[in-house]
Parts: sequence; C-alpha cells; structure tokens
Amino acid sequence: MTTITSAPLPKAAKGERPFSLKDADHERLLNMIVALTAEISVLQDQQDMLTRILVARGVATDEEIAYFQPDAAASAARATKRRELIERVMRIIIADAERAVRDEKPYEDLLAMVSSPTS
Amino acid sequence: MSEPRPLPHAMSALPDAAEQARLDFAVAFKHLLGHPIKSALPHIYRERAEPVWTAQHGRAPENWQEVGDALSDTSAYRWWSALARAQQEYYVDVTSTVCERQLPELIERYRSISRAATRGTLTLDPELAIPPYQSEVDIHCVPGSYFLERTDDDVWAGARSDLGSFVFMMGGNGPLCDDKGQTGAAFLKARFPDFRATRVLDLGCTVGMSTLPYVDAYPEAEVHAIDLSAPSLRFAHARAESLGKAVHFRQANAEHAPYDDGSFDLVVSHILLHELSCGALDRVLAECHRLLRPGGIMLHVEVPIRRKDPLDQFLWNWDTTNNNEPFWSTLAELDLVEPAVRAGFPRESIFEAEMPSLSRKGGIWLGYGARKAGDAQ
Repeated sequence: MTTITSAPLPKAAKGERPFSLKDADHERLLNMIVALTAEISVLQDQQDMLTRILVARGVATDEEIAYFQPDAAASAARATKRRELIERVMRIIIADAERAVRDEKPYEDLLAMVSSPTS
Repeated sequence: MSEPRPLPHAMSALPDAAEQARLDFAVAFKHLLGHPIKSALPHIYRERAEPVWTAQHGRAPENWQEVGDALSDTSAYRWWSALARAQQEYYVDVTSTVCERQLPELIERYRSISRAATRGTLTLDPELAIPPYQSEVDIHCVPGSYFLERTDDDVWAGARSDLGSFVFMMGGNGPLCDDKGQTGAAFLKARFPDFRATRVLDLGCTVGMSTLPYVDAYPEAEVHAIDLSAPSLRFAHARAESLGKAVHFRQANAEHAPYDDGSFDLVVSHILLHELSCGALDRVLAECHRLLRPGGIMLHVEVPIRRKDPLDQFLWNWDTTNNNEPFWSTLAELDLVEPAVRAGFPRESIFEAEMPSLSRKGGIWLGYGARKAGDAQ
C-alpha cells in the first residue's frame, strides 16, 4: 500500500482571505462556531446511529459503526433534526431576516404607544 | 427529505459515517444560507440599504458596484457573507480530509485501473507550466488547488474535486455531477440537429464529469480532454475507465493545445472561461478556432454569470472576492462577441444562449459559442 510521508495538507488557500464582518476577530469566532455546530451535528447523527444499531441487534461491531448506512426514513429523520439544530444555533440571524421581511415597528414606537394616555 | 448521494464509481472517495454527517451538515447549512438568510437580502436592500445610500448621494445606486456599496453597509449582508465564506471553507476542509484519509487506497485503485485500461488513454506532461491565473490563487478556496502533488501518482486533488463538486452543488448536478455536459450536449443536438462529430475535445476537463456525456451524445466520435492538473487527469482517466467510457486525457494548456490545426469537429468547455484571464480568454478562443475543422463548432458552458438586475449581479459577483474566482465579475461584463470575431469566427455564427439545466428544475447554464466558417456538414 502507498504510504504518504510528505507534508500534511495545507489549511490556508493561496489568496488573501476577505473578512465580511467589521471585526475580523468576530468572524474568526464565527468560523469556530460553525465548526462546533458541525461537530454537534456529527454527534447527533452518531447518537442516532448507535441507538438504531443497539435496538436492532443488541451488539455493534466497529465496522458496523463506521459504515452504518441509514435507510431512507432514518436519513430523512436525520435531515429534519439537522435543520432544526442549525436553526437553533443560527436563530439570531434567522430572526433578523424574519424581522426585516416583516417590517416590524421600531421598539421606540411601541414604547410611545403603550405610554400614551390614549392607548 | 433525505440528502442526495453521488453515484459511487471505482474511484469514489467514500466518507465514513462521521465524515458523511459533516458533509450532510455542510449541505443543510448551505441550504439555510440560501433561504431564509440570503433570500431576505433583496428586501433588506430595498427597504433599508437603498434609501440610506440614496439619501447620502442624492441619487439612487445605478450599477452593481453602487448597489453592493449600499448593501455591504448592512449587518444582514455582512453576516450572510461571513457565513457563506465559513461554509465554503468548512466543506472544503471536510472533503479534503475525507480524500486524504483514503489517498493510499485511491492511488492503488488508480494504478490498477490504469494498468488494465482498454478504452481511453492518459498522457501527462510533467514540464507543463501552470499559468499565473491558476498558480497565483487557490481557486474555490481549496488549499493546494488542483496542483498539490505530494507523492507518486497523486490523485488527491482529483478525488477532492469529484467529491467536492457533488457537495458544493448539493447534488443538483445529478448523481454523476454531469449536468453541464448533459445540458451542453442536449443543447448542441437541438440547435445543430444535423451536426456530426468524429473528434471532440473538452478543454479544462478536471475529472471528466462533463466530458463523459459527449461520449454518449456522439457515439461515433473519439473524445479527447485536456487539463492543467495531473492529479485531476489521473483520477479522470481511472474514473472514465471504471464507468466504461473511452476518453483520451492529456495534460495540456487550452491556450496552446498539442493537436493539429482543424483536427476537431467540436470543442467544448465547462465553467472554464471564468477561471481564465482576459488575455487567456482571447488565446483560448483563438486556439478553439485553430483546432476546429471548417464548419466545426465551439461551445463553452458557463454559469449564468450575466444578470439583468444590478442587485442580483452584485450577489452573483460575491464569488469574485470571497471564493477566489478573480476573473468572475470581469467575465460577467465582458463582451464575448468581439473576442470570438478576433479569434476568427464569423460574427453571425456567434451565440450566447440560456440553456435550461437537465438536472435542476429552473436551473440555467450560459451557452457561448460559434461555428467556424466553411463547409457545414
């Protein structure tokens, strides 16, 4: 079998990395959050996998765990859970988008409204 | 709805369960970035960004640069953009490591398939110079790009491109990720129903995803394909053999391809043009003209890079600065008639057409091409 003894894969693509957020450190933090979210998603999937194997067979081998293939129903259930997890973690961004489309009244207007004697 | 899966072939890098979960996360995350996050941006632009910019400048934004200037001032755009870049880097990292883990086995598979190859061929040129528009930047933010070679018979970049293209398109280009080739071939059949091809050349073929549909579309033809990347071509050769398709792959630069004048009936490319430069585009078009026989056809299948609405154009141009696609927004605005005329094609033969995707409902590819003067078959 071929062995790869040379340098590890590079992690930085050639080309200056742009930052969209005003504070680059915030964006670095964001990238960590994305990766952490992904790992939670991975754990969630693995939990699902282990549960199904244990229920179905009682005992699991390493091979079974490494190459478990969910059936269509399990895969669909995972997809739903995955979407829900992302929506939980990214909630504030989704909420901002939702509010923007809704054209919500400024909070100041609401304060003025409830404090008005005629309210 | 469960995620689409690629059709496995003998060279496929197969993610294990944890790696697949990461890929599924990347796809689900990308769907979410599209909707509801990116889909709210036009509304935010109209309601907030445009009025603010107009008040500051005494007139409304008039082009995509000004629209972008206005939208970039909103937190919503900045967050979407930051998340989109994070998603791109994340999925690239995962696909990279999946292929890295399986590299020794993939190289063995390449060796055994290429030793037994009976249909097509592979010709590499270790002396080939990589042009600066490819060597100065790792396009698509893939560290090492298509050129990383760390061991003999390295196929890592090809394997990553094969897996990555499917994940990047979220399965939208079909199980073999061949929608561009399928769509291009179907377009040619419809537009030039009597056209016959006995020799076809695909420029910038990468792993041959878009090349193989032409083997089926023109069964009497000998199909050739070139690319700059040796790791991609090794992978492409073994992939094509394992899928039972005869293709002759060669490591060469599309600016000066090592074939005789007039030696092809059809020259195609797929999302190649936006990876070039202005000068290289002229040289590639001139080369297409030289390679075609009289009456031969060139077709370049591109992303629908030209947008009518400036806001849409600005959002499409995101890839230029955020996904290492430096030529993208220049190409979007470039007149493509004159370069083809300069290359020698008759003005009246030059076309730009919207080609409906065969795999993605509502999807569009841009078809740009021309026909060389002379006896049309």
